Amino acid sequence: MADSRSATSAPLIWLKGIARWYSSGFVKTYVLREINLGIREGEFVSIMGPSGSGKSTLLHILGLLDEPSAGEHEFLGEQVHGLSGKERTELHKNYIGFVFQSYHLIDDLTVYENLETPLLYKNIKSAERKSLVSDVLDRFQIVAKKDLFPNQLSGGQQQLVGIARAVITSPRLILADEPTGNLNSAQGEEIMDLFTRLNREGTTIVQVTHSEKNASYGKRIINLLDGHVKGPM
Amino acid sequence: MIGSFIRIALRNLARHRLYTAINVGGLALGLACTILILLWVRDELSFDRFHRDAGSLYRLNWDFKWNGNEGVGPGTPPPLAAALVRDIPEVAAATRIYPVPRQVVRFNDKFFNESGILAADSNFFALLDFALTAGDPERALAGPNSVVLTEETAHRYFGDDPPLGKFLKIGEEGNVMGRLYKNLFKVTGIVKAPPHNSQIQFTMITSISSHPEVAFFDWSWVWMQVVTYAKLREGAVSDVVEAKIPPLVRRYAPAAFSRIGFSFDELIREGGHWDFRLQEMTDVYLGSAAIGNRLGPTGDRVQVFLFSLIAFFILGIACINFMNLATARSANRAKEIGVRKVLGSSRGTLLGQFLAESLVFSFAALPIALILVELSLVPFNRLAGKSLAFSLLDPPWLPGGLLVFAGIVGLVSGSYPGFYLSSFMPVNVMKGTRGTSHGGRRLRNILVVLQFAVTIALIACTILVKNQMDFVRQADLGFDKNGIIVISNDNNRLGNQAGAFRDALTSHPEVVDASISTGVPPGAGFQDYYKAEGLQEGQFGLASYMTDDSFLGTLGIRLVQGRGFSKEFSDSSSVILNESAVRYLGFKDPIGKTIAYPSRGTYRVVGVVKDFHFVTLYAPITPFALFHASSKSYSIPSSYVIVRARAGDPARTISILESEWKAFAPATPFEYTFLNDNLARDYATAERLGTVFLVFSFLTIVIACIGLFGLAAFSTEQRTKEIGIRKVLGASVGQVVASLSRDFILLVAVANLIAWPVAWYVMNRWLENFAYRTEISWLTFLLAGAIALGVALATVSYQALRAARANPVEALKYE
Repeated sequence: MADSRSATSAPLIWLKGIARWYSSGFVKTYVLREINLGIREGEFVSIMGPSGSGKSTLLHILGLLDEPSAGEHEFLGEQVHGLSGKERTELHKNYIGFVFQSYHLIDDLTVYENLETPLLYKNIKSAERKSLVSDVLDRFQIVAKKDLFPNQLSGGQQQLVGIARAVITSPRLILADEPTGNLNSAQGEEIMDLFTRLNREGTTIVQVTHSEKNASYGKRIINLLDGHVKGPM
Repeated sequence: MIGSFIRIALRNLARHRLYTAINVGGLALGLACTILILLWVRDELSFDRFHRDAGSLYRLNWDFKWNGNEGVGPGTPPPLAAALVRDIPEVAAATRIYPVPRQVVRFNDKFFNESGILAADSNFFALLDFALTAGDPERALAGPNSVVLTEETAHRYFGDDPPLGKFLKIGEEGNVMGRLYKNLFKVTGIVKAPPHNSQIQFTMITSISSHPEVAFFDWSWVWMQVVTYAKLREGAVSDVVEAKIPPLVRRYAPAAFSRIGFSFDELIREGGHWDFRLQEMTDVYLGSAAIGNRLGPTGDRVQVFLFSLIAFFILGIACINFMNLATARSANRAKEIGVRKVLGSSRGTLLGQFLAESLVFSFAALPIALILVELSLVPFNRLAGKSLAFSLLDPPWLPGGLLVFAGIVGLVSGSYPGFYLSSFMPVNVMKGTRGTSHGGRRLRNILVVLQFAVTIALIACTILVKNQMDFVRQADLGFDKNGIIVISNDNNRLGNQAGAFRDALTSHPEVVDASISTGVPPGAGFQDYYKAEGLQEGQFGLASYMTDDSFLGTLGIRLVQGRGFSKEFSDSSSVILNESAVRYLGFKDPIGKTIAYPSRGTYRVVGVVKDFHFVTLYAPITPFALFHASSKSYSIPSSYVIVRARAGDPARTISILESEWKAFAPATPFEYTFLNDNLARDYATAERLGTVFLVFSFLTIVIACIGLFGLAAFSTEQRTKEIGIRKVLGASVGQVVASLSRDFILLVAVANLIAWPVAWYVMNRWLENFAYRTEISWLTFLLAGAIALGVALATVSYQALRAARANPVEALKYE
C-alpha cells in the first residue's frame, strides 16, 4: 500500500486507518475497516464492489456527509474529524459537488432554480448567479429545459441537470454515487463522457459504480469487499 | 435568498392546494376568532380611561357590617363628599351623583318615560370628562332646576330648535319629604352622549339641588342613595387616604345614627363596621361584579380572562394544525432537505426557509381573517351585546400590530417544524432511507388529543347549558306565564283611576282577566321583617306583593288552603302565605294564624298558595306573602296592571289596551311587556353563554377537523403501499378503513378522558348559580364524545375510504 503523500501532486484527500461501524447493543457491525487511501487532485477514481461492501459509506465519508468511527481524515491538507457542522458545510459547499443515482433534484423547483440553489447558499450575487446558470445551461445544452420541473424530464435529462448542478460552483471534487444506475446504456455513456471531459478540465472525480464498463472510464479502480480495500490502490 | 424562499413558498402554496387551503383556512379562522375576541377584550379594558384624570379618580364604596348583614355597595350618604374634602387634605374634590328614579319628562305635548336621569353636584363636569357642546360646564348645574341634556335627548324633545334656555317638566310637581319638588327644569347645557365604555350612563343630568330628598337627608349617614366620586391630589396615596376615612365617619356618623334611634357605638361594640373605601375609577367596571354599579354597566374580569383564554386556545389549535401538517409532510420533504444540505445549506438557512414558508402562510391568512372579522362583526356584536367597530386604521398602530401578530403566529407555527425538519441528516436521504412519518409522531398525537379535549369539553358544556335552559323554559313556575301582558304604572300615573282602568280592560272579550299588583314575577316585590304567632325568636323575612282580588286568578296561581282575596270580605288585615312561609313558621293549621308587621298592624292568614317562582330559578323560593291593596301596609308609588289575554292576535289586544290607557292616562306613555319576555331577559346572560359555547365548540371542531383531515390525508398517502399489499392479501374495504382510522379514533377516545372531568367541573360550578337545576348526566359526556368521534370518523374515513377503494395495482406501482 503506497502512501499517496509521497506522490508528486498534492493529495486532495488522505484517509488513514478509517473505520466505520454501527453499534447495536454490544455488537459492532463494521461497514468499513482499516481504510488507507489517498486521492490526488485531478484523479478519476472508481470505487467498485458488491452490494453492502461499504462503497456508499466511503463516498459519504469522502464527502463529509458521514463521520468515520475511527481513523484520520484530511481534506485539502486539513484535519476533518472534529470540525463543526458549520465548518463541514463550508467545506462541501465550496469544494465538493455531489451527483446521485436517483438525481435528487428538488421537485418543487424548476431546472433553472435547481441550478441556482447551490449558488444561493454560497451567497453569490444575483447578476453573477444569472450568468453562471446561463453558462452551465449552455454548456450542458439544456437551455430549452430551464423552466421545466424535474418530473417533466427524462431520467438522462434529470441526471444531466444533477451534474450541471454539481459543477456550477466549480468544485475541486465531484462525488458520484452510481450516477448511471437508473439510466439506459446510451444515456449512461453520455454521462460518463461528460465526467471524462470534466476530469480532463481538471476536476477530481470519485464515482461509485457496479459496472466494469463505467469503472473503466476512471484512471484508478478501488475494489471494496466487506469493508476492506482489496488489491492495488 | 429571502426572495427565493418566498417565491418557492408561494409556489408550494399554489401547488399543494389542499394543504394550502387547510393551513391558510385554519389559520385565518383562528386569527379571525382571536381578533374578534381581542376587540372585545380591548373594549372591556377601555372603560373609563377617557377621563383625563382617570388615574387620580376614585369611587367611594360603602363597606358595612351591621345586625348580621354585611356587604360592600356603591351607595354612599349625601354628606360624605363634603366631609372628605373638608377633613382629608389629599382629597382635591368630590362630586355626588344621585340616580333619579324613572320619570315621565314632558315638553309641550311630547313626553318620554326617562330612565337615564342623573342628578349631580355642580362640579360634575370639572371632575369627569363629559364634554359640553353648549353651555358653561362650571355653571350648568350650579342652580336648582337646571338640566343638561345629551345631544340625542335634546333632539328628541326639541328637534332642530336650539335647546338652551328651553324648559322641560320632569315628573310631577309635589311634596317630597315635606318640601316642594318643582318639576320645571331649564336646559343649561348640552353634552355629548357618554361613550359606551363609560361606567356612568345618562340621558340627562339635573342639578342635585333640585331634588328635595337629597337635601332632606343632608345630615344622614345611613341614606345610601348617592354615588360619590373623589379626586385625589397628585402624589396622594390611596391607602393613606383610606386610613383617614374611619376617623371621619366616627366624627359625623354617631349623631346621624342617634337621630334615627340607633347607636353607632353599639354597632362598633358588636363587631360591626360602617366604612367607606376607595375603588379606582378604572377598576369599577371590571372590578364590581360583587359590588355593583348604580350608574351604568358592570363587566366581569373572570369572563374577560376566560374569553382571552379561549381566543388563545383557538389560535393555538390553528397553530397546532400547522405544525402537525408540516411535520407530517416531513417525509415528503426529507429529500429536499437532504439535497439542500448537500448543496451547502446550513441548518440556520433551512430553518430560515421553513420560517419564511410559515410566514407566507400566516400572512396569506391575515387578509382572509380580516374579511371574516368584517363579515362576522354584526352577529358577534349581537352575541356579545356590544357595538364594536373594526377599522384598519383605528388605532393607527393596528396595521403594524396585525402584521406583527401574524408574524408571531407564523414564527410560532413554523418554529417546531423548522427545527424538526432542518435536523434531518442528509446521509439518511442519500442512503435511500427517507425520513419517516414516525418523527414527531408522539408530539403530533399529544397535540391532536389536546385539540379534541378542548372540542369535547366545549361540546359537553354546550349541551349542559342547553339542558339547563330547556329545564328553565319548561319548569313549572307555579303560575301560567303564557299570554300575560304587564302594563307598567310606575309613579302611579293612573292615580285613583287604576281600578277603573282594570275594569275597563276586563270588559273587552280579548282580556280574560286583569289585576293590579305592586309586584309581578320575576320580582321579589317589597321585603321586610315580621313577627309571627308562635315564633319566639325575633323576626322573619318575607317578600311580598300588594294585590287586588283578581291576582291569583289572573296569574293562575293555585290555592292549597283557605281562600283568596275577595269582594265579599274585608281583606285589609288579611294575608295569603306561600307554602314555604307556612313551612318556615311551622304552622300546622295556618288558616287563622297571625303575623305582625311591627308598628303597622297584624294580619290574619286567610289562604295558602302553592309555592310559585316569584323570582328566577337562580334563587330558591323563600317565604312569600300577598297583602291586599286595601291594607296600605306599604306605600308603593308604582304598580303593574297584569293582563291575561285570550289567545289570538296579540297586536290587536295591545292596541285595545293602549287605547284604554290613553283614555285613562292621556298624557303619559303606555308601556307594556310580555311576562315571557321578562322571564327570558333574566336568563339572557345564561342563554348568551350557551350561544358562546355553541359558537366556540363549532369553531374548534371545525379547526380540529381541518387538522385531522390533513393528517389523515397524509397518513393515508404514506401508507398507500401498505394498503395495496393488504388488499392484494385479501383485506376488505372495511378492514382497510378500520386499520387506517383506528389510530385517530384512539386519540379522540383518549381526549374524552381529559375533557370529561374538566367539563364536569366547570359546568358544576356554573349550575351552582341556579337554585333549581338539571342533573349532570353521564350521558351528556358520552354524547359529546360521540359527536366528536363521529365527526372525526367522518373526517378520517373519507380519506381512508378513498384509499381503500383504489386499485391495489396502482398503489404498488409507485415502488
